[in-house]
Amino acid sequence: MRRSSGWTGTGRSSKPARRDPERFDALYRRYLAQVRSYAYYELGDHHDAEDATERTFLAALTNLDAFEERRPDDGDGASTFRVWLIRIARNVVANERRGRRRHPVAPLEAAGFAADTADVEAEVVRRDEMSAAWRAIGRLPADRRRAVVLRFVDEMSTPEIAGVLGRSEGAVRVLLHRALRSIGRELGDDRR
Amino acid sequence: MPFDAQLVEAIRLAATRLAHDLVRVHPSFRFEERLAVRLGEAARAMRLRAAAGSLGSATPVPLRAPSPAVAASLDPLDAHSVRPLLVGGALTSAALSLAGAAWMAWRRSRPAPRSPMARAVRAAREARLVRGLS
Repeated sequence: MRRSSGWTGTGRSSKPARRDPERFDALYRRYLAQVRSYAYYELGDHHDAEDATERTFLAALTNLDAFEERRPDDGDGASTFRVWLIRIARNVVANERRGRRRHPVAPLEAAGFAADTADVEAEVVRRDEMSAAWRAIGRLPADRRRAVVLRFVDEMSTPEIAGVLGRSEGAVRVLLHRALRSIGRELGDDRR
Repeated sequence: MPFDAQLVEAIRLAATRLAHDLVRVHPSFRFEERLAVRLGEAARAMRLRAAAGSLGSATPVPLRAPSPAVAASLDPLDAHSVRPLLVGGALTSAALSLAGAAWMAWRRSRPAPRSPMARAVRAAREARLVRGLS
């Protein structure tokens, strides 16, 4: 059971949680893993990812008034709270990377996946497959890698990815298609 | 298998692999709770700042200066009528309660006594009140 930090709203307020600092806790719990994963896949380091996650949520909290929810058919692309949050994360990660000038390489061991000791052989195979997938996305150009992570890790829809990347939906489809094509080629080569 | 079909199949397989292999990296419970506490503190600080009026705006109170003839006839000790009283918004000191603000407004609205004797009596009474409080 999760502990409460004692600042979640009681629901008495008619103010939507997405604009109310007092009720931000629910949003934080809901999106923490997604923001953390995005930062980790981009930065490839646990400590950096945690720093970026912390800065993302603090920036989101202090700028809650700036959030405007838009539907895809409003003209400027979708802007759900999740899209807005990941956009902040994207900026934070870009600043982080600018500071250290390091290409994101995500060593699988650093991800801290727990080994299933019940079936060591299957675990080794699984780790090999995951390593291959990590390597494949690590070699992609930044915009394609970002699109892949948003699609397959954060499970975002095409309009949402378009909102995060500031691209059209068509451009996102092209990015994903090209990324999958090169990953498919690479994973196929790995198998041979 | 034609080339296009091969390509489509390769893309489909790649998508399936990625959906399976790219896992979401969950933060530690310790990190989650530490950040929750930090955000809670930040939210409380924001609420206090908003209550203190730092996010609001000041509204200027236009005051008309008395004409020189009227100003000359005014008792310099009776200057209370031209001083604005700002209540709420910018002032949130714990010392200023609503009751205190209401008392100050009422006190300010009372015309000061014109006679020196009445003013002296009032000053003596207020001095007693201050001594009694301290």
